[in-house]
Amino acid sequence: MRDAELIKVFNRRALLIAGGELFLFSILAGRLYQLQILDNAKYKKLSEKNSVRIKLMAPPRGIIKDRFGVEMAINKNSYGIQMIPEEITARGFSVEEILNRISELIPLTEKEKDKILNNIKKKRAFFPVFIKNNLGWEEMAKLQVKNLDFTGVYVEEGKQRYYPFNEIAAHVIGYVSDVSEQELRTDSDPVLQLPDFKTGKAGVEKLMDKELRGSAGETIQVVNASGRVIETLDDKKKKTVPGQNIILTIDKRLQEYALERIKEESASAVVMDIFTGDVLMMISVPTYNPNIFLSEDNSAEEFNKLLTNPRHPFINKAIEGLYAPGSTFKMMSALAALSEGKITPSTRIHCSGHMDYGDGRYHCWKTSGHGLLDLEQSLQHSCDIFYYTIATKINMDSIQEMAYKFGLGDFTGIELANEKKGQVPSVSWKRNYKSENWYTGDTITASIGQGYTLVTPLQLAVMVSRIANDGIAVKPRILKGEYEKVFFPQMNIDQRYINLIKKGMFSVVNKPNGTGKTAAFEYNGQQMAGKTGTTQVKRITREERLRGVIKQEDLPWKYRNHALFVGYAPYKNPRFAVSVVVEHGMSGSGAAAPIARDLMRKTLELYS
Amino acid sequence: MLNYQLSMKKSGQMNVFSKFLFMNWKLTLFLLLLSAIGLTILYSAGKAECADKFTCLISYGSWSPWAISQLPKIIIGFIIMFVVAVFDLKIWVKYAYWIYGIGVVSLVLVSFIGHIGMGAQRWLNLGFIRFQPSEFMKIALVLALSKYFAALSINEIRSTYYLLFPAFLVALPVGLVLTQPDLGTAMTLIFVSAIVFFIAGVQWWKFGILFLIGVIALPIVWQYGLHDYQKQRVIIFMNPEKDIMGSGYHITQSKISLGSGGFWGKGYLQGTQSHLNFLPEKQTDFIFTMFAEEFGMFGCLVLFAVIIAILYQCYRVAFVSRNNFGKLLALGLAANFFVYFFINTAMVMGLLPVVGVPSPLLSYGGTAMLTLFFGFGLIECCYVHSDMLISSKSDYL
Repeated sequence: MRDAELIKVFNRRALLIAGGELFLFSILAGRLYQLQILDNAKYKKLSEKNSVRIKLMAPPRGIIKDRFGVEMAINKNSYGIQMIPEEITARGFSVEEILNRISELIPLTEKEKDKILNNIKKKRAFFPVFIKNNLGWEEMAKLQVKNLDFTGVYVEEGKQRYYPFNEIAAHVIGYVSDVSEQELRTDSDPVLQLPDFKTGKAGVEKLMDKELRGSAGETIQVVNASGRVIETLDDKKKKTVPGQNIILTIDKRLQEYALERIKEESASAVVMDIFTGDVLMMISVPTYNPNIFLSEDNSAEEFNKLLTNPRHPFINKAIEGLYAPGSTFKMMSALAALSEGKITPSTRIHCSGHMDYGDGRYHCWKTSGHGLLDLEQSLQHSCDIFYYTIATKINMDSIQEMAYKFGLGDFTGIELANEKKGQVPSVSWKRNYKSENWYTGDTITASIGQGYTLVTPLQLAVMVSRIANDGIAVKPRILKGEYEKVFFPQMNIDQRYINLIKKGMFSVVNKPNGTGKTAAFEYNGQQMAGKTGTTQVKRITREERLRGVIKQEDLPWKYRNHALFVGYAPYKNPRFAVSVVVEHGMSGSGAAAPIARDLMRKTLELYS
Repeated sequence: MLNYQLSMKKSGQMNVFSKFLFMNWKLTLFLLLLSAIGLTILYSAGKAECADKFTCLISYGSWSPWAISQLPKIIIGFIIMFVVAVFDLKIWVKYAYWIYGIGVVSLVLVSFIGHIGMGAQRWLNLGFIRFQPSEFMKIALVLALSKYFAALSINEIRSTYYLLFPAFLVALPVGLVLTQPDLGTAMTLIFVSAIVFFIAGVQWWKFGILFLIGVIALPIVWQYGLHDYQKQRVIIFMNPEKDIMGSGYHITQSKISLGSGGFWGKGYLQGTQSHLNFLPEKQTDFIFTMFAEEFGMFGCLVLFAVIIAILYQCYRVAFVSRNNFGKLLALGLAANFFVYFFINTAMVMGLLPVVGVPSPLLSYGGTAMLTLFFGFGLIECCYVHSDMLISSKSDYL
């Protein structure tokens, strides 16, 4: 300490700072007095208000109905029982005792009992513990009768999704299941937090989930410091907004009929209105029962069985299955050639059973040949050589353009999740995706719907619809909109050409030697027109051809040909289009055409 | 024995054990008391296991996760304090600028590789601890300023020329902290430095000029220097009711918690505001609020008494110290502790904007606790070496 003056200054100022600090302390104390003593009553009230908690109430999910209002997805009452351990012990019972008595009425396994007792231990005594969920009304009634014995045991009524017609429209309607982790992360809707809340996982249930969900109501609960609910204030609650009901274009009766008709196959079929685009029926088999996602018993086992089924029950083959269109594509090749002026309605081509082009030899399905054919006959007999010949004259790009016009190789825009796009190749497509040049040989293969072309059964139905309605670009829909009148643009295809194609398709079904004569029927003087298709799953090699082609029946199932049929009815004044794809059905005329016949006939019966 | 050691103390020839004995044990005791209070509140803020999805929001008091993790930090804190206290005071004088340098370097590092929390870059991850250099800087700055001023004569202190260097010592870390941006720490650094300047003997009128400059600069800083979220906090401070569910939520809920506590409080573990989770960040910035809700005004006054007792002990160290360095350091660090506590408490009471300053020794957190104990270790060291004369100017070099 060298500087006495400095110490004097230091001491004085240190005391000043100390004084300042004490002054600030007194400000803090004053503020405390203001908040905690003077305004105590006001803040106490505010804090009590804070002890009020909001409890969400699940909104009932929207009902899904068919086009005539038949309810296809509904909410069924389900009951759950809970107990509040504190209330049981307060009356001098033990929790185990009560559990045993309940299990006399509602069977509980030892495992379930252990789980319940474990939960009770974990939670505080006044929290309700679930005993069993998803009980039916009968089980409930048993409990209700003896209710007096069970103080502290409560029945909670809830709603559970139920599909009354089980599997008949599973792929269209879809199903609901528990909220996934990902949904919780990406969707901020508070209703997802509710226990037991379910969201749509497939079909319309998934696509329209937000609309079907509705919004949660709120009740206000008064809780004390330990979280115990003291009181529920119902008068202040926010109303639950039920989910929006949804009306589908499908017809439950047709759906039911179709399932019954094709359930043995691995197949899909679509029936649609050629003017409105309403999909009256869409089926994919094998199918699944959407209710298995909601029941607790054996569902895992059943689910695994479905998952491992080689015929893929969870895939909606009508929009997710991609197939070569085969001979059903011939209408496109013919229309392209007509529009380009490469052939005329009177062009005749000779079929000798095969055609040589370049280094290759291309075979007709009929090795002995068809002789001289015009366009109508080429469709009737499904002659391949006719189209090979066209292919040597026409550019692939104009075939692609025509196919696109008729809705092939592109999304149809149907309101269902997971629709596949498919593809129709072109010169540039092959260069981009295969890094190869397009050869005329490719056009020859493509002209009969083989090679790179892949379409969905729904796209085929759209194609036929656009032929049947004389070139209106109808689009399919599964949700019935508010307005019945829908406008679709004209595609401006020469009416003469369309008539010619239609005539050919009529001959396919109704001429004695038509390839699709298995589809022929007459209902009230109404007939169907159509086209068969048989597409190879396995290429026929040269040796096999020389040895003589092996019969389809002798091949293993997975190597057999796919069977296709597209058609519309009635031939005069068309109204409905149909497409059927039977996987490995061997031949279009044998497997697909009879199904299409029955579906069309049933449709006409229902709608005349 | 004691006489022998007393004579040793006078001669400055003490061994480690006798240094330990001559520490200010009253100060240690009050620090222990304050830490224990902090631990008690952290237990109350702890969360019990969830009963189900909905009741998970409720906490009943539990060692985990805060108290259990704070306890070892308190123990380490006391160890640091003891170790710092038994070093020779001259060592701290000698290395004061080095310690300051470490603080500045780590502040620079944090803006390059630091971790971002609450919109500001504040941490360095050292593996075992998330080190906040700005906390360390509070102690290091006082240390450097004390060293500088202790070497000056009264005439030198009164010359403006000799203020340029310490002004630079303050401006450098303040500038760095502002870029993080951490308004609360910058404010604390400025206040504490001002107090050190003041007790060192800088004339009144110079503070007046500084204050004027500040008033003029304020609108410019507001316009160009503040981040939107910082402006928002100041605006909400002025009018918290404007935005009850948004950013004003913190202040409003904090006031409700305080106010509903009343004189005697709601009782330990009984605070509805905090246990039903209406009170945000109750283990850090708002720990005083939680204490006030459960222990009431009575508890708060007891807490104030403990803080004042700690400050009083620091003043005693400053007054018995026979060297300028000890005097300035003890008072400077005491001022730091006080400013820390005052800003936090005034903030949760709605007297200051919410600037993100934790409560000293109460709030959950590692760096703040450890650096504070480092500071108290220095004060203890001043006490142990209060008779040491550091007279020649060369001692300060």
